[in-house]
Amino acid sequence: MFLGLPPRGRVLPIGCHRLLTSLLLAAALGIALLPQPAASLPLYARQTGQPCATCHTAFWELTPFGRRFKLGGYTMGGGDWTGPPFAVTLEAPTYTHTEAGQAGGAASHFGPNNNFAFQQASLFTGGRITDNLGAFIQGTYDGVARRFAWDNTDIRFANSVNVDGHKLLWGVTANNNPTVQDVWNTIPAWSFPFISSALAPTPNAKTFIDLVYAQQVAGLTGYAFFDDLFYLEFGGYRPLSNNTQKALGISPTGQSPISGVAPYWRVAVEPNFGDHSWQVGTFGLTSNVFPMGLSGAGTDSFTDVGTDTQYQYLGDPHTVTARVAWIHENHNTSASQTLGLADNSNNQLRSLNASLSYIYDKTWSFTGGRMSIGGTPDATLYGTFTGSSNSANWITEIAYLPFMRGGPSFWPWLNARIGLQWIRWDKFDGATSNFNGAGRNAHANNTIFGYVWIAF
Amino acid sequence: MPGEPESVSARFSRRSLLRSAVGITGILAATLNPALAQPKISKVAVNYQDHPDGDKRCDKCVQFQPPDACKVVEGTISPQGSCRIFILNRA
Repeated sequence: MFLGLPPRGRVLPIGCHRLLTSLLLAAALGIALLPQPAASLPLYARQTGQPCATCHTAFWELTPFGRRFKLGGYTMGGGDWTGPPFAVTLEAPTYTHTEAGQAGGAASHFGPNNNFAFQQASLFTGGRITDNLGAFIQGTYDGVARRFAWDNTDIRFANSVNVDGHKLLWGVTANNNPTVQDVWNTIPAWSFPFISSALAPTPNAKTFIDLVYAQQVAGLTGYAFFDDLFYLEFGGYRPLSNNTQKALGISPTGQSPISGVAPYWRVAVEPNFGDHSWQVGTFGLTSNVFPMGLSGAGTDSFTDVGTDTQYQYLGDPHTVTARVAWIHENHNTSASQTLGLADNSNNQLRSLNASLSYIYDKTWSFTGGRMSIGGTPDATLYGTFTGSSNSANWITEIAYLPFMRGGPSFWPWLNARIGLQWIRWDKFDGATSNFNGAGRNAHANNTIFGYVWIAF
Repeated sequence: MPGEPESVSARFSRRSLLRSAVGITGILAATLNPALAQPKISKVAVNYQDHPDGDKRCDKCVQFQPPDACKVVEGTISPQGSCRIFILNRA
């Protein structure tokens, strides 16, 4: 979830754009240089004086309060914390078991199966800087790849005004991952599963908006939330240069950089009534890209259009969330075809992510979900033995969250999510059996993932 | 690098980066008006009601600001009201 690792078999970006890159760096510099009130920048629970359950049904899924806290620029106060503005999350220990071992090891330094791992350690800073400026800044040590890199970053200015008797909350966000600025848990950066094994197999095909450009771009978008109901956002993304990415811990190898600016848009409506919150929306990203960074044949282009809906029942002690997101990608691969990187001159992908969670007493979380992706076959582009891009799984998870209402007396800001996740693959990289030409079946990738996820 | 598009191989200088950073920081600092109101959360987002929810009443909550306001919820707040984010004031 946090560290946007390049997916296998898909092309990712490089490049540079002075202004947007500088904006993120300058904003970070600004945070350091601007005078801080005595109580500024404690992270969110400490800053607001609220327990985790106010903003999260079960972390990291947001409640209506949490969504508005984020749209308000992470600036809301209410707490009396005067300590340093940092938080830490640890994904450790984790345990990954696949139905059949992975030849050559699940990753460098790991065995074929039954691996324990210290998966991630993230350091966060940000929170309220002024009454209208706030941030979410994350750096992550990846315990599987054994490297440190910048992670999700979202720095925003927000203000609320009255327009002819109607409330308008507006803002600007500078961020490094298309969809990371979003507030609903249907969209790729924050969708279920909220934590996944870094040692389990994943399909080759994925849509561009599904974190392909995470941490490799700088973006600026403006948004408006009208009458606490209608949400509209528009902006664009540019790639970071190779040197900038390397300096931030990101390897630019194998990326397909955006050419020019990639427009991003988001429209949603969220009516709230009593204990119910319902959202319907659409989102998208479109761009020209240099396939594998090669410019000799011009550019490919893609347009990703998503539709999503989320329903939450926020009762006590019962909470229910249903989420569905469907993404269609049209991918013009004429440049890739000329370069021998694709068989077809045009491809389509369609992905579905649907899940249903029940949370009891803000403590026990039960989730079931269905994920699928598929589209036109293209063996060269997707790198599959079958040529097909089709994969589908069922996922179930049980999680125990003992501290959503507050941690133990010796450290009230401690939170933890202890979970067990099971993934059953119906189809993987285009086949149910022998998907890799070496006799491996989709079921061989069925995964049991146990984890302890700690935040403090 | 051969084969890379121009935009990929371009490198911005430290001077230009520093110039942009200083400029944008200045714009940000100039934009920050302390008089702007800090955003609060709407009543509908916390399911605010003008009556108590059992023992939960706004005047017993840590966020209540007498006589009729809340630190985090916008608008006039009844001491007898209640909402989803109630936290008992133990002081």
